[in-house]
Amino acid sequence: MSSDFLILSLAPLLVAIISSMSCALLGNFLVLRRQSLIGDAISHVALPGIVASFLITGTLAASAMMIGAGVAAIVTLVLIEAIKRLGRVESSAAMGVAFTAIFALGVLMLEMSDASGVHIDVQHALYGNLESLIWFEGLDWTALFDPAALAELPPQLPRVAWVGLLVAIFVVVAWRPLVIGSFDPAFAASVRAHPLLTDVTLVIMVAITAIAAFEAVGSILVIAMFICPAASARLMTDRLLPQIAWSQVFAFASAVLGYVLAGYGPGWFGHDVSLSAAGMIASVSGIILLFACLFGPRRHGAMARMAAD
Amino acid sequence: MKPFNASQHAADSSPLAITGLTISYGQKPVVFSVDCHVPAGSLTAIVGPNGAGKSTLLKAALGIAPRLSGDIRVYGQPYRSQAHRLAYVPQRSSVDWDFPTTVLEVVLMGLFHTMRWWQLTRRHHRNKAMECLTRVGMDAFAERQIGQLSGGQQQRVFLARALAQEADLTILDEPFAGVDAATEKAIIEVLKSLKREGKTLLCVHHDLSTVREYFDHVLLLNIRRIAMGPVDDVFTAENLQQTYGGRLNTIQLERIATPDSSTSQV
Repeated sequence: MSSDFLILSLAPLLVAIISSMSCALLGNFLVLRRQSLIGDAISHVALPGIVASFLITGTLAASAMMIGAGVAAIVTLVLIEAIKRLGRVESSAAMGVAFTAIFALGVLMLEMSDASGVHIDVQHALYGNLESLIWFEGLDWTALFDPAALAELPPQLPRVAWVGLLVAIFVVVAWRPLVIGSFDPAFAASVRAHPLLTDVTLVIMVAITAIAAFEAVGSILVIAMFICPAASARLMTDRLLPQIAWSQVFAFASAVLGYVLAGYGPGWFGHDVSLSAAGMIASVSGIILLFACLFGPRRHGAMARMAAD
Repeated sequence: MKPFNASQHAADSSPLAITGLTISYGQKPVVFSVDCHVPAGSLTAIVGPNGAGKSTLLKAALGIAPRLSGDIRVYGQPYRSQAHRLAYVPQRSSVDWDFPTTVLEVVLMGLFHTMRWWQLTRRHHRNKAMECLTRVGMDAFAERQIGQLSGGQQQRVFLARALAQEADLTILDEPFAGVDAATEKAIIEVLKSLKREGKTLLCVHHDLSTVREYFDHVLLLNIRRIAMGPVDDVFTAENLQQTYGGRLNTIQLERIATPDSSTSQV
């Protein structure tokens, strides 16, 4: 039983937890800046980036795909800014136009290219493939201390772990400019807290996080994790640090609960199947948001304001 | 050569010297060829109708709004090197007051220059912020979430944040817009006490009836500079009529622009 857990569940569970928590950490700032759609946009444009990198390099190596997706993310950001400035439309409209157009381009590229023999499919990109992260060397608990066995962990795990660490360092180091720029960009510019640079760096961190998580957990989970835990946390408190702590708790709980429910839930009802873990985690985070809306201590303010608008 | 040097010197000592500033969004200029030297130690108002470019002028001075042409000097230097000597109070409506933060934390933002990005706030930082809150009469609200404040209280918190910056030049964008009478009184008291300390203040102001009472210098602006100088010299019916393009009626004008009117009318 324990070796079963180590082989089949340890890596996917850790990848889900780390991805969820790093997305949720950045999500706090996206929600406060009313930029929640950025996570959505970047997850979508990763597809054309991955296809383009495959067409150019002819491989599906993770590094090439990451670079392709990263370039696509930056192109999209430039496009969003250009549409905003030239078309004089608000930023959410610009984002909506940019990412749907580029995503559609990716689908066309996929169909027109000779990628049919290769395993890039849209479904995979949406749902991710958490369940495939099997640790063949995880035969018993001693494997956790065996460097040879640890080296055989699925490469997605160290990848999301490094990115998670990077995100945490970014938030700690850039804390003050991030907070001031989120609250009052004009003041931030006047004290030379570099709001524009902070803005761009935040979006680049979002892109890196989304792309690292994307391959393992799929874009649905990435989008949900950028928004749901942070939005739920906002309903729990009126202070920023407690909000971030809540968002981490919610992200962790969604990952664990969602993974367990997807794997064992159907069995409890006598069905011999399992559900998509990423889909279930995203659903759990949505349910947490629903409960936060209904019972969160700060919900009255938010609802009263919505009614007032 | 001599007069040129003299005027150059005047520009150097000025807290804010703007020369030939033009800003444009699209086809129409928002601010056109404006010169403006704010005298040191003055309490200067910028007055003009809606869309006259008042806020844009301030933002350009702070390097936030992109300018087509013109030169901006803060104490004779480019803005970048002088940012620490300057405090900016944006319009209250420009930020999201639903932001999850407290009054004290907002005032602590004014200490940005003195702290590392990741540094934790210490007792002396908090004491300093509390002093500034006391000065605007908001010390009892330090732990409140900012969304729970009235408009006037929010404005006073913004002023406290500017006080924490200990700037030589403070730039305020409509600090009296939509505030209660008590707040207006509290703010002008603080501004006047800053002036007594030798600080310079520049303030976008929309209430013509209080210009004479509150300010010593005024810039009349309507995209172009109409007039600038001591209030007694330039705040005249003629200049106002020109600034507002004939939209003020004569009775209004007489009441506002006559030096003794504010006392005789009340």
